[in-house]
Amino acid sequence: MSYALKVSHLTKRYPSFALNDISFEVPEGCIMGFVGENGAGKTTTIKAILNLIAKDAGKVFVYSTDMDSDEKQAKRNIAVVFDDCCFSETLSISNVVRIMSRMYPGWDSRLFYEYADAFKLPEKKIIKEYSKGMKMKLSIASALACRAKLLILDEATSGLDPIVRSEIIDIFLEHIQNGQNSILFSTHITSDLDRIADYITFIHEGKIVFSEAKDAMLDSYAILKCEEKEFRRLDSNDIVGVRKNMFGYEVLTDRKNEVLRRQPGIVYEKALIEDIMLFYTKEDVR
Amino acid sequence: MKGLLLKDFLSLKNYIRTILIVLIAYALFSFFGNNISMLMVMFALFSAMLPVTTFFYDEQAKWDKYALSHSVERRTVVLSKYVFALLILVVGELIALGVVSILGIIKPEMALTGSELLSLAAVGVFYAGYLNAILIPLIHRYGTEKARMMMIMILFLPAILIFIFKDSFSALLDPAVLTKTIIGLGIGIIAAIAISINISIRIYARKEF
Repeated sequence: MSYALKVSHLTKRYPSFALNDISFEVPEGCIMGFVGENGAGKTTTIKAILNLIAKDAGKVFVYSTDMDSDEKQAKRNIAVVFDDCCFSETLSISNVVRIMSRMYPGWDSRLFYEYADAFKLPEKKIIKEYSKGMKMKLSIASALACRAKLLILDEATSGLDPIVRSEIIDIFLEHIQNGQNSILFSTHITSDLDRIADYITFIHEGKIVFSEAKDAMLDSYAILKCEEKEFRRLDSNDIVGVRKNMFGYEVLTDRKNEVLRRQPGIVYEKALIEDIMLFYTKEDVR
Repeated sequence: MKGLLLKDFLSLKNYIRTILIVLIAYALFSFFGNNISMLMVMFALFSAMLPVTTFFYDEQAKWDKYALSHSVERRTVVLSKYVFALLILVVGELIALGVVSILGIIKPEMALTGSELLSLAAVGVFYAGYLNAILIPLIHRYGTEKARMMMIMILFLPAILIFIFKDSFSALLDPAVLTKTIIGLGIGIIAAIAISINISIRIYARKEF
């Protein structure tokens, strides 16, 4: 399999936080959901990928180009949406077009105006007068107009209402249709990922908990609704997290099929990405 | 580089307009006050302030991390600020030259001679060069907020030095050695800018966003 992005053993240490040996791959033509609670290290990982912060160790490859040996070439294949707008508030969208067309080699002004039109971005106003959602849409339109193969989105949909989010999610899906384009989609709105992600990488306290295909993952995870007796019969290896309530136990397992084979009558429900995140991160439910 | 320069000019377009109005108002006051000799220096001073403002806008928007993520090299970001400072200074001085010449034609008794113009332009350009050579690395290192405080000191430092060494300074302005002084200062400023660029590149290479 060819990879759009390969992160290998990425490490960055701060006095009070560390990214520890982060490794994952985003296959070509896929959307990788990058999830984790606030402060888990998502943005730090993205910054380290982009060399915005110095790595202590590790390698990053973008479509096989080593980010350290040919950063410029590697970045020609990347467009990024940060949670900040990044354009000066005194600029208008026609200014953005003039700047980006001179700055980014693959920039497509026609495509930008198509998205600007679809997102109803006002041409006359300066960015200072934009709402948070409009700024987000401007960043997304700019990233798409870069015609880069790899989109890196850092909380790119967090300022948007559900209707616009849904439209934009469709645009992201369209982006990967050619089979080569890929997206690394960092977010804590996991419902977006339930819809479009092919892979999920879950980071917690600066470490990767898992990075795997979403369908396989959702197939192996389940929330078991057990009574005391059923709970006692579970193997400790079956249990990722436990939540006790007045009816018994809710147990997150990553070995659904094994558990069902041993206890066929056990009640369970599908685990969503959010459930998995919650069980892993909330210490008190363990 | 072109994109970065354009970004700075476009971001500042309203600010530049305001500054031009202030300068034209100043020009009119000078005109009615019968002394237009400081115009060249004032234009240079205001031009020298503009790069700091572009840094401020960049910081506010978190522009650098965006540019660096989109294949702009760190070195280019650094160099673009010096080129911007130079361009805005040249444009400022050309406008000042135009204004001074027009005012001189309207009131010939106020007109400045060629050598006067050259000396005044040199003072302005050297001052702007000196200011940016010190200020730009400081901004890269400490950010605009702290660097602005330091700017006050940097602005007054030449005046303090001239006051302390006023005797030797007047000797340098003697018409017999004035050309040598200008050439000497010119070389000094160019060297200072070269060193400044070098330091800025080093600071910026290690900067995290």
